[in-house]
Amino acid sequence: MLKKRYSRRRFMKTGITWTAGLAASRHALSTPLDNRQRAVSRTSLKSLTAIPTTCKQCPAGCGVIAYLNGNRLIQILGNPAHPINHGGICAKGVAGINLANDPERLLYPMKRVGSRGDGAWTRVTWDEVYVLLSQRIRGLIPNRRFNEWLTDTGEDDPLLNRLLDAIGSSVINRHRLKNSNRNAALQSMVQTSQILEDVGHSRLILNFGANPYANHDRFFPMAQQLVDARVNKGARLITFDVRMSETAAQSDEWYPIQAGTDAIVALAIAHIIVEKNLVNSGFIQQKTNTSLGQLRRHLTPYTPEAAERESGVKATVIEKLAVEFGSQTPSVAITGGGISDHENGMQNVRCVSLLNWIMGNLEKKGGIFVPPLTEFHHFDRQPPSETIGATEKNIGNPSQVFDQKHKIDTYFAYMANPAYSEPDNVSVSRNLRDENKVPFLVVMDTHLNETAQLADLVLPAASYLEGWDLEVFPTIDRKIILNLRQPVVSLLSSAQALRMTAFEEGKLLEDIFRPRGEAKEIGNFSLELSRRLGEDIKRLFPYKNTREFVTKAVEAIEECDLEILKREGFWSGRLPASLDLIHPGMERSQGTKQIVSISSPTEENRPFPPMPVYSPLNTHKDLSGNEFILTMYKSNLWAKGTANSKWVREIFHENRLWINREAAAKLNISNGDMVRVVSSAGALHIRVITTGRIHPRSVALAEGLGHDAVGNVAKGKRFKSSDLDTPLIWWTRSGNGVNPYTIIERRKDPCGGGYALKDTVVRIEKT
Amino acid sequence: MSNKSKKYAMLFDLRKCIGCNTCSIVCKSENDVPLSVWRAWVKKIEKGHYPHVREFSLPIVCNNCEDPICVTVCPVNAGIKRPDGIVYIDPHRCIGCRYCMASCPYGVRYINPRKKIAEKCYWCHHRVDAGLMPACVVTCPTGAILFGDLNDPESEIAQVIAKNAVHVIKPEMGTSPQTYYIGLDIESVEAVEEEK
Repeated sequence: MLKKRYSRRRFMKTGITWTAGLAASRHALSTPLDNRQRAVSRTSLKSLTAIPTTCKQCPAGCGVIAYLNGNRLIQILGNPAHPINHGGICAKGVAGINLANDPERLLYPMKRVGSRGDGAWTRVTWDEVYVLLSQRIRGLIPNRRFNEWLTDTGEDDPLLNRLLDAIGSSVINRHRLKNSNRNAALQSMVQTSQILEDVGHSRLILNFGANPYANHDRFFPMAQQLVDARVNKGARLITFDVRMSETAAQSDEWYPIQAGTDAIVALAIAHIIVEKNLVNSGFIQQKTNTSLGQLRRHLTPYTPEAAERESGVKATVIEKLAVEFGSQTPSVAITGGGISDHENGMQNVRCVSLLNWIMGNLEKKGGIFVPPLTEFHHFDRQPPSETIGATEKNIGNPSQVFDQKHKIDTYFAYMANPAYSEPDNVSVSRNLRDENKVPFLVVMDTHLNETAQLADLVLPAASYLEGWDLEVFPTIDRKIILNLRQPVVSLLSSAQALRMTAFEEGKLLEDIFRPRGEAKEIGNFSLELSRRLGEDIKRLFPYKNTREFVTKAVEAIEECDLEILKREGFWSGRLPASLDLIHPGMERSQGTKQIVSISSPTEENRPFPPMPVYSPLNTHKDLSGNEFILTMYKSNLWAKGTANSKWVREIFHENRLWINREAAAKLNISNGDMVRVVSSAGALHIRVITTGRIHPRSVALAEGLGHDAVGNVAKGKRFKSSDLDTPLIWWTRSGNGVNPYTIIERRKDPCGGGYALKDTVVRIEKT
Repeated sequence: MSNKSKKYAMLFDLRKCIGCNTCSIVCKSENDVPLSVWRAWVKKIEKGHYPHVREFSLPIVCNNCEDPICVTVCPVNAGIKRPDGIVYIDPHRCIGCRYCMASCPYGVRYINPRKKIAEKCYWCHHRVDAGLMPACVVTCPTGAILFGDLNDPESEIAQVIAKNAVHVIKPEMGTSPQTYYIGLDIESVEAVEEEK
């Protein structure tokens, strides 16, 4: 019965107004598209609602369009208007809907019952979570024990980073950790780790260990440029890699190379280029801190013959490539994880980069660009919190944390899975299980992963399709591309929206999305937590929610506004000078200072020789017949967000150990045999694939498989759910692969500080 | 909606294909293809001996042949060839007898495990009829797939086919396939993919 004061007439009137408004808004959402961005329903043939947003399966920043049928996300395609990916996206991006609609998502905050790792949970409310966490954080303040709060982040988020700064947390940043050898090398030479390789305009591309056709920070945008350069412009791509990577398979030439010896090949190429006087001597003289004479003396011992002895790449090949690299300009040398994930990784990258500097490949078409950096997320720069002040926060990797007995009060893992993806993960998870070492373990993720199984508190994170975010990408013409990420999952129906607070705020005219279940965006989580940490921290977060944060950030750019971003998904232009642009390359090229430090001053904490040198890996010497160097690689379907994706797992559910056919024959191993792979960290039983696509001294294993948590799809188990496909999982017998991290040893590059993931020597035994 | 003056064709430029499987997965999402069956997939074939070795990627979809055997053999006339060249299966007529699967030289048909009827790639005709490109064509990250009308000399696909040498798979079967390839390695057509 309606109450008296709410008359029938008034009810009808309000109802009609809101319905009309809603109808108009839904219409507005689906119209402003050109024909290339349209999609139709396969069954009803009606146009689907299209919302542009940004993919986050990898860091490339491709623009995508999410298509909704009614309120359900049914497809993700590329955004043809987007300047980064021009409409193409990869398989992982398309499979993003598996992540958003996954019936096995973690949807509610839960607390452990019983002992650690038992897997028994009880649901708690978010309010209890905030009370618990804020009490723990506040407990650390009186004795200034801030750094005992350890955060392990797999994804960067501006509001989370701000919160971590504010509370003085120690941070393990996965993204920085992954590239730290390469970044340190570039930092030592061009004072920034952010470079853009303009491969689309090069005539010759020397690729040392990069695999942009399968896995790269600039993944498909770079692959598109390479394909365009090769097929349409006749450029040549030459790849050095221990295995035939996806990029090597589509290169003009592939040279298998002894693992970790790329530096000497690069130095020998430089040696010939200098010898034959093909260098850009003007550039060396004016823009670097070394002279041609000094360089010639330094390169004298690195002859092609010496390089052949170490690397196995023929001296004649090195000479040929050197002449081509020196004469077919613009030519460029690119680097990737294949050479930087070694104990000499930083020097490898320095040596390969030397090839670019002697050719004067800086800020030149077809060469290396050093784009301006921006700290866009600090648009409303606030002074640090007074009680805590500025603290040292980046602390390497989890193994170091446990080895150095860093005292931990709370380990907070956000989108990171150290119990699974950490070298020697078995001992890491043993440490995480130990309540003396880790008194309180909190995991925030989209799935109940291996680390979450050990946690005291698990929190459901929203996927990248369920929240608001902004990302900035530099371009070679010194502009930026600003990408908007907006929610596209769980569009509330009108009836649901009426029950929401949106009704009171008069926001019914807008479409309202809410993450699935009780999942929360990390930004909103950080904001809510900050509100409970006292005035001093709360004042740094003057935003109601992530949406308001994004709105305010966009307002800092005059020419851009949120409506453009919401409609187009991106904005391209120049940032105003007030946003503290740092132009490393630009500033220095205007002055008289040198811009490339070929010879770097030795730092106290990271001793390395000033000139780029080849430092041989002694652990790889004198291997016996059944010892091989293990290369772990990422398939193009690998991404953290695809672990439980049915379409991805259907294609990529088994990882066999690649072994050279002749090397296997000597050990009497044939294709499909089971072998035992042993390293000092552990052992794995695995099936081999004998192939000609790998160096005889290396074996290769794909990462991203062998989950024993996350979900049934990841585990390769058939089950019934709301998704009609899950009972059809057919790869139950072949299993779900193995996790190579189990046998990867804990090594790091002493100069770069990053992992040496590709240096583990394994013994292979036939079983 | 079909247009008699049109003759649709698809072209895979294997010089640009990087074997990324995007076409396989976007097809699953576009056409609601269940697990265990595919309308589009990528075959990877290794040839040669170390170090002189190559890997070839071969994306495969239905050829939508000009003389489709599958349509001829269908006992219930469920297979239909449209005037614009798209071959499709009427789901209301199909009885799932698998004659078409047995007759197809390319093995592109499958029985849908849920509906128990034959299905295959039909170049996303629901998109084509709405004036859009098939899902794999718009999504291919390197632009290796083209689709269009061969009767229109202005269309990109007609121009590319006019300028480049193109192959079809198994021309000897006499089906006149309308899916063309640039840079096709003939041996990888018959080769069987190894487990990886």
